[in-house]
Amino acid sequence: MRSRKITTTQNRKPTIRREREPLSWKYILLTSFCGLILVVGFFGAARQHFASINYGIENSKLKKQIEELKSDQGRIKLAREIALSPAEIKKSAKKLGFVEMTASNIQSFHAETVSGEKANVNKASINKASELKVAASNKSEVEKNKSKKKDKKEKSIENKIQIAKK
Amino acid sequence: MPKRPKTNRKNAAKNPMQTIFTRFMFIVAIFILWIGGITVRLVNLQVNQHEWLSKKAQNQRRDQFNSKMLRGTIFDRSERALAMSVKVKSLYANPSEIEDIEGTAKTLAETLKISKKEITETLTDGKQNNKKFVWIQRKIDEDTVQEINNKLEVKELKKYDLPRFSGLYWKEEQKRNYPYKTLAAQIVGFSNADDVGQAGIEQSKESILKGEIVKSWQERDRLGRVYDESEIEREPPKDIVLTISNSIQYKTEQALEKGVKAANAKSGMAVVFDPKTGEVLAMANYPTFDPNKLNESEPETWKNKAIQDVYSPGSVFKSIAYSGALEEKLITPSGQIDGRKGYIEVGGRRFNDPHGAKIMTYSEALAISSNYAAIKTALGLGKDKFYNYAHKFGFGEATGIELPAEQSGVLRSPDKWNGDSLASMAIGYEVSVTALQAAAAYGAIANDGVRVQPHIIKEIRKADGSIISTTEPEKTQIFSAETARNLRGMLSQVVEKGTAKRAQLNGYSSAGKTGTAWKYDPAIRRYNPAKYVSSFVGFAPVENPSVVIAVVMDEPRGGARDGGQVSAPVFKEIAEQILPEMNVIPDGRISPQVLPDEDVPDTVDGDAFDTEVLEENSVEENASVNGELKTGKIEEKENKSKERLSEKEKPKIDQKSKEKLKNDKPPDEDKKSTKKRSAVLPNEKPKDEKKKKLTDERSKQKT
Repeated sequence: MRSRKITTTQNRKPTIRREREPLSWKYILLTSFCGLILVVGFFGAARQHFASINYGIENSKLKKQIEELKSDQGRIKLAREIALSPAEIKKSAKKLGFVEMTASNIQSFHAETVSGEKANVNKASINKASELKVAASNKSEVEKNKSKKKDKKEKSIENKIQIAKK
Repeated sequence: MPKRPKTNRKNAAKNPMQTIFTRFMFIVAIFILWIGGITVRLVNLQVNQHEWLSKKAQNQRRDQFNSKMLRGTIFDRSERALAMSVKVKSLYANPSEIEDIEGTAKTLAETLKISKKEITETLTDGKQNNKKFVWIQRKIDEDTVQEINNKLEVKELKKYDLPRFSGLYWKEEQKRNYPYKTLAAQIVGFSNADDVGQAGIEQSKESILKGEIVKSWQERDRLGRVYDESEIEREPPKDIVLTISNSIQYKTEQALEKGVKAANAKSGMAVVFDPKTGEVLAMANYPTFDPNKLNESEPETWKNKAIQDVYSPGSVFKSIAYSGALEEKLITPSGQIDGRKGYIEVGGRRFNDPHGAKIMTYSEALAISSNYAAIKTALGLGKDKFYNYAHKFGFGEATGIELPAEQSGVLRSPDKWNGDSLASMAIGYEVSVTALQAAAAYGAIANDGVRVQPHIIKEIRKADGSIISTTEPEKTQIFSAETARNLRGMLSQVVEKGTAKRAQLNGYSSAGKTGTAWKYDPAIRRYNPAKYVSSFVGFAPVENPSVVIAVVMDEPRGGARDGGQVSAPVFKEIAEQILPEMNVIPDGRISPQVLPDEDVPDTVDGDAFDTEVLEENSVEENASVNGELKTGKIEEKENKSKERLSEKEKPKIDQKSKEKLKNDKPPDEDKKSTKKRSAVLPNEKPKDEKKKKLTDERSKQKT
């Protein structure tokens, strides 16, 4: 029985084993490239994750800052309202020498405006005169300034000379 | 035959590639098993235990907290904030996180300047009861917060939030501020520590001003830094714009305070009202309070007496009878009435009228505040018509102003009246009104018979400024424009010649009516002749009134007690200050001084409830004001000092006034003004003059 079996095996065609080709460089390169992309992708994702967290932190900080600024604004508004209260205004107005508005004040104001309207008739001539006056005063001021500057320069030169002599 | 090579299985197994493959597959299998295990575990965690774990994770990184939106702002008509909320911080502790309670309490006591014992007790109690939230101090301002943060900093502690002190945290809250302090305090009202309105507009418009609670979440990393935030959006609260003008309110309050102090009154109230629009420009009460310092004020001062206190209007109510009679064509301002009897009996009761004991026109009768003429006019009008007119004027029902606890006053229907009720009501008794009701009623006279419902809210708007609603007041024609004109003319006579000379304005014409009434005392269940309510309700200018002002003084205890002497000067001061501000062009004579200082009698004029029954007590009452009798010595001293002053000041004043008059007016006017100045009260005029006037007037009427 054994022999027969042997014979059968002997008659069988020998199994052909394909010889495995050694891993080609192209394949290795491609794999490593893919791996690299994967790793880079992971790193990129991690970076984005942490960046988003950082942005979130920054964002919340800014939000907090905005809220603080808003509450500061509220406090400033409050301070302004306190400063604008009639009692405070009255105090400061009195310090500045203002007088309370009464009917007699209004009449004097009206009288002033009426006289002002009358005066408008000669407004052009007055304006010209005033312009001339202003121009003259400006000129004189410019001249004064120039003379002052000259004096200063002369003084500084003298000082320098004295220092050099010393 | 060549021998075939023996195929040996052992040799085949020893093939290295095969071995590698087998090993690789083995490792792969292990990996698959491992990954499979992990997958099973993950599925178990993420599917079966999902909820429990997600909650746990959220609790670890997520903070949830509720915050209240800032309460709405209350503005005056010129956009000045009368009440506004500001964010502040409150310090709280988590006692379970504090190990050294004594040390913490000591540090806190030093920085917050509060007692150490108190903090120790709070923290110990919190720790024992396993509390996680205990207030340390609430509503601290920003400067103090920074100071506390600096003082409570422990550098070794790894804590992201301030203060860097274990177990201590800040919580954001809001604080209600009233920058104008006492200004319009009773109108604006106040809110409590939980920001719930307790009085005034704060209370009545709580639903509009209230800030909604906002839920928000914060996600934190392991260092406690916030990296994600989210919140449920809510509509912000609305702002309210009042009709009050802070400047007019201030001036009114100042004048009222001065008036109350001068009259030594218990309290005072004033209402400034625009008769055309129905806008309340000012509503003042004195004594008042600062809503920022509620602890330092008395609860009695929180009450807005101008709408919450009722009083007997006295002679102010006489205008109702006259307006009704004028409208019904029963009387004319120049028509005459014979009051020589000096009294009138109605329902078995005698009403005295010493001032009106003469033949006079109705205009004069109102000017001198004749009880006889008013009662006679009311009797002519009849019960029902009188009641109808009073009701049309708005008495007996709340005005509907947007303020809490407004009183409607008392105006009984005619079926509940007694025999003398009509007479009593004609002179302002058996009725009670609020100062606002009186102002609104006179507003109808000023506005050609159209009564405009008073209101104090101008508009309600969103936080971005867009208007949601504006108040449109109800307008009712209660009598004709002609009647209103006639009545205005009659009321101007009250100021020019009658009981309210002190209400004459510099630069403007004015009209109004004084009222002096005994106060109803609930303790004795009748009018107390020792206690008065003195009022003046007037408007200016007479022809085209821009403003109605009601001034009420409660229990004036100075020398003078009647409305003409106590309340009219307050009206004058308010009107003279606010009319120029309102750009009202002067229509009257402008002079530095309109009225010379008059000697004010200590007795009450015809305004008082002068009945026979009560007259018996009047002598004593006039002599003593609230039991305060002037001694002879004091009177002598006062008289002497007055004489000295008059001697010193007379020549100066005379010279000054003469100079001013010369400068200001033409010679013709000069004479007129001197005449006016030398004029005396109508009931003090010599008889010859009176006769002449009467004959003149009769001849005029005939023609």
